[in-house]
Amino acid sequence: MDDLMRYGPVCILAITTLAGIRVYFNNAPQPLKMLFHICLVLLLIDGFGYFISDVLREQNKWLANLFLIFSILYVANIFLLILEQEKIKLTIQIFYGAFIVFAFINSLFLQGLSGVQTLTFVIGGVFMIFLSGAYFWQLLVSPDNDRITRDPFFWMSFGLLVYYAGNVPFYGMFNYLERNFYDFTVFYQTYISNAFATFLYLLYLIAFLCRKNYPKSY
Amino acid sequence: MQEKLSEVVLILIGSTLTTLILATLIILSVFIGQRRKFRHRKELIEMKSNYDKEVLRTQLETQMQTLETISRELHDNVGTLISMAMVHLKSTENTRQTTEANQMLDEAMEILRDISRSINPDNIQKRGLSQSIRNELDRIRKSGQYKTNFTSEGVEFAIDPQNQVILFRIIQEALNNILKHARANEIQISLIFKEPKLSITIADNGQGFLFQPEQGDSISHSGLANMTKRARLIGGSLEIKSKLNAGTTIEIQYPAFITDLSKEKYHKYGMHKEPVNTELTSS
Repeated sequence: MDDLMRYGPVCILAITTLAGIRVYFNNAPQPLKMLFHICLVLLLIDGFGYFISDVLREQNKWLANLFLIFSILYVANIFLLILEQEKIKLTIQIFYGAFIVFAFINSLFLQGLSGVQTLTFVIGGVFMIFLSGAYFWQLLVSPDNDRITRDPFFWMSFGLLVYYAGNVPFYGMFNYLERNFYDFTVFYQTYISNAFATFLYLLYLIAFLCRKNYPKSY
Repeated sequence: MQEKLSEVVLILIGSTLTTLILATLIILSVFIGQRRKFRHRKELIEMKSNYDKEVLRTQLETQMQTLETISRELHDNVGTLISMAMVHLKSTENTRQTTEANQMLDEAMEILRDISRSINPDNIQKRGLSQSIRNELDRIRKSGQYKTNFTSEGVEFAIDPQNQVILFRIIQEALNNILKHARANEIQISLIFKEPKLSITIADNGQGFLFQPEQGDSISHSGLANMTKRARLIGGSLEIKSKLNAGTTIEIQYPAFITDLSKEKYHKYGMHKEPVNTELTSS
């Protein structure tokens, strides 16, 4: 059971990445191709992470920290392309600069790279929740007649919203929990946090499969 | 330590659940909003469709009234004048010119009667669809430029009188298009009564035109668009098949069940007929 919960998300991610290949041959919009990029990179990073921890028996938190910064910036860039409101776009651009500076300061002077960067996770996660909410709002007020269930970015936002809403409280307290309640932290990360990750990858999979074709103007 | 852990677990689960519930509420509101949007849009489309139907029905009623007035005027005024002129001519000395003038007036009177019958909605309702089409084809055939062919299959069932007039107007429009644009010399109309559906086919052997709806062609010509709208107004459908130099075929499908005509009414209109399989070919 432990192994299933530990490696399950990576297996789902591998399937999602495979399904994502078709977006390259299907006239898919650029942001969806970018979602495929992030799945591919995440799969490689996850594989490498497991290699470091399970084979080399070393800490891989620095890798997770670096990827966290990269993934939040990259996903914010996807939202920059799919969101239409100028104020939100401007907010994303401001966040970009501020987040890079913050991540730099946090990595060098505050939390470092050896422990989990809880501050980065909370700030990035809350911003992801905000961007998902902004996309839902855009869908709600949009005059378009398309069904939201056929919109890949609806599924992407849905997944990100649930993933970060479920994980922000845990990763916000991660260092404290790990220090004081190690077993509980490992249990929570293996079962609860990985369940959220599995859910996210499943929704990415739906995002890749929810449409057969993409019109040229999509 | 154990007590502290349970507090931490409580805080963690509480905060996670709170954020998850908020996330669920956001997603639910998106779904509900989307459903409302769809319902609202559907209502708008329905309203527009009803409005269009109402406008078209009013247009048709106005047109019917106008045609009725013209028909009456032709019959009562122009017809009477021609009759009087004929009486006057008969009372004068019988020369070759007066005989010719008399013949011309006779012919004019006959054409006038045909036109009057053809445009009078009451006449169409009284005669029924088949007979009205026969008369119309007869009128065209008399010009000497067209071979016409009319067939009717199946048991002719009652059609709502108003819808009958609309169907006849569609056929008239189709015939008018053939006369004006098709450069044809053969016209064929067939009716197939297969309860509860009436299929009408109007075909010509003219020059046809390029029309490929499967490749995105839409009916832009106002005459064709009008015919389609009229067919839809009475719950039917109209399909146009045409190829260059291979003639044009127009198929109208009319679902008679929506006319709400019971068999009693069917007899009341005096239109009950034995199974018909008639063919009228004229050239």
